[in-house]
Amino acid sequence: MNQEMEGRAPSRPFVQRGHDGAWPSRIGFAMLLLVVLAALLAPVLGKHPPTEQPYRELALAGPSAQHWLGVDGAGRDVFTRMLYGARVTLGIATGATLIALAGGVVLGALAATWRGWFDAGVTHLVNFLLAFPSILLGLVALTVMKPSPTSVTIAVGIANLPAIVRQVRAAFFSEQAKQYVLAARSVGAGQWRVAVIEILPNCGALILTLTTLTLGSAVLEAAGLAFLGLSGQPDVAEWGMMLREEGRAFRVAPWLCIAPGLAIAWTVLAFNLISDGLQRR
Amino acid sequence: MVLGMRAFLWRRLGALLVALGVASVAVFLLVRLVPGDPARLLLKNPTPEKVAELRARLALDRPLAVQYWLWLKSGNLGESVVSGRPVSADLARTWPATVELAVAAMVVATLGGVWLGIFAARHAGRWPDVVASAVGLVGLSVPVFWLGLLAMLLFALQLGWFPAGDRGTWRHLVLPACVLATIPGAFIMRVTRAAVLETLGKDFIRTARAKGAGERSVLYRHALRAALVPVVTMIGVEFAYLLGGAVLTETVFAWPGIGRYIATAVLSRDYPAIQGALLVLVAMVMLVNFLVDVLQHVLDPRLRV
Repeated sequence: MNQEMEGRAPSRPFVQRGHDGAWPSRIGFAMLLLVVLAALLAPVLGKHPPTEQPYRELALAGPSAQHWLGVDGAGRDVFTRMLYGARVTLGIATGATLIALAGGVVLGALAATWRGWFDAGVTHLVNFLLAFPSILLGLVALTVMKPSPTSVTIAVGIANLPAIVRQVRAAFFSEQAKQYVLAARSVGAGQWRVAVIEILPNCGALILTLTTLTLGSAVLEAAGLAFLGLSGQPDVAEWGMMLREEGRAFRVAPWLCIAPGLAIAWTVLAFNLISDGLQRR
Repeated sequence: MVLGMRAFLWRRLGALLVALGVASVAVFLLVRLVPGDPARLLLKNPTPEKVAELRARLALDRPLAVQYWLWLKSGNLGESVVSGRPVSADLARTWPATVELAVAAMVVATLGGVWLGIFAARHAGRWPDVVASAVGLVGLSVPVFWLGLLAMLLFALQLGWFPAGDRGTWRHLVLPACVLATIPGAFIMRVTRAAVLETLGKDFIRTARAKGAGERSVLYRHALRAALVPVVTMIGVEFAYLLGGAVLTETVFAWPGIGRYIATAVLSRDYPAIQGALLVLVAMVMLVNFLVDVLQHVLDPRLRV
């Protein structure tokens, strides 16, 4: 996450003409729609149970008319698990992003409004944490929690918090110097009224961009942590976890590794395209 | 603030030491945040005697400050609960592997990213740029562990060009280094492209063109030199990322480095090992940032005045 914020190139039109950034966003939304549909329609499209293991005798079977993406090592239909995996992935990413946004906006706004020692403390902590890759922060957060999808959600949320604090704090600082804020103050608005009613709505565009960026990196980090085996029981249909399980058999059944990784890349790319388009605006 | 080079070095060194001290306390306290008794969590079938014995061995029955002091004083960061070896011995064995992988990946990422970035900037707005930019965006979105599996599948199992996993000769290094380099490489590509495009619009480029310099010379001798400054400063940030990305890449390729060590330690709840590996990783990240700061100070005279 912090990587994206640091390394993000200054906006340049992807294609010189029609530089409103509509195209990357449109493609991104279309790609995301497919994932959302898979998540919503999982019980309709998936004809097999996602967590039970009814096809043990077919373990590691290749794609067939019955099992479009084959059967995994434990005897589960991979296509069905992919569909349910969309639910888990979108759920974790949304939860983590909400945690990061809520915490990040509140802390950033408080730091910019209170200033003084609170701001100094928050800034120091954030700068310290931003020196570390978010997957490492997630790993640290997971040392104190039991492995489960909920823990991964919290860990990824915490890992993405510092970057949002920094951005929101900086935005508040620059807004505070603007005319409309000075005008509001001059008619007697208190600092909280100014922060919540005047400044926050003007940070809407930034928060929207941060949301899509965080969603993308949350999918990637959650999948990574799950791949390391930290999302709990292996029967949870989660794409990173599926790669972990099926990666073990990749010498005999390499086709099983294609779909989960492709799905992760697809979803992350969708969010990255959307945020790229938003930033070009 | 006006700071001489010497004063700057001392200040920065002092800050580094303080930060390291704070980090060591934080890493130490982290494990105390674990709900429940670590000794009980570590034992497969905890009987009261076994728990008491392990608590005594890990000094969990002493006050926190004493535990911290003992941890520092022991000099070996405690013993791994899983392997029984001193954590410092494990780390001494694993960190060179991680540094080797990270440095190799950094070289690949920088060369590949800068080349692709220049290529994209040279054809700005036309289809090669669109393709290169798309490659950059895809590179940011692909999970490294999946890329690692695919690379092993194609280059190790199908083609047999490189060994699949483990560390040894340079041939072992190629696949993990290239895989680990994707995300930083994609970032460097994007930054280079933007920086070159921005520099090409500057006055001194117009001057160079007006003098009659050829397009190649303008690009490589004038624009690129100025454009590389942000890329160089990114290397510090990227190195920190590489140490994190190494956790996944090392796991996929069975590369015996700190990344894989800490991943297994977290999974098996081996708290002394987690503490030790975290401390070393934190120290490495801080040291790199320190060196980048000093380097910037040396390279950019504007920061010195």
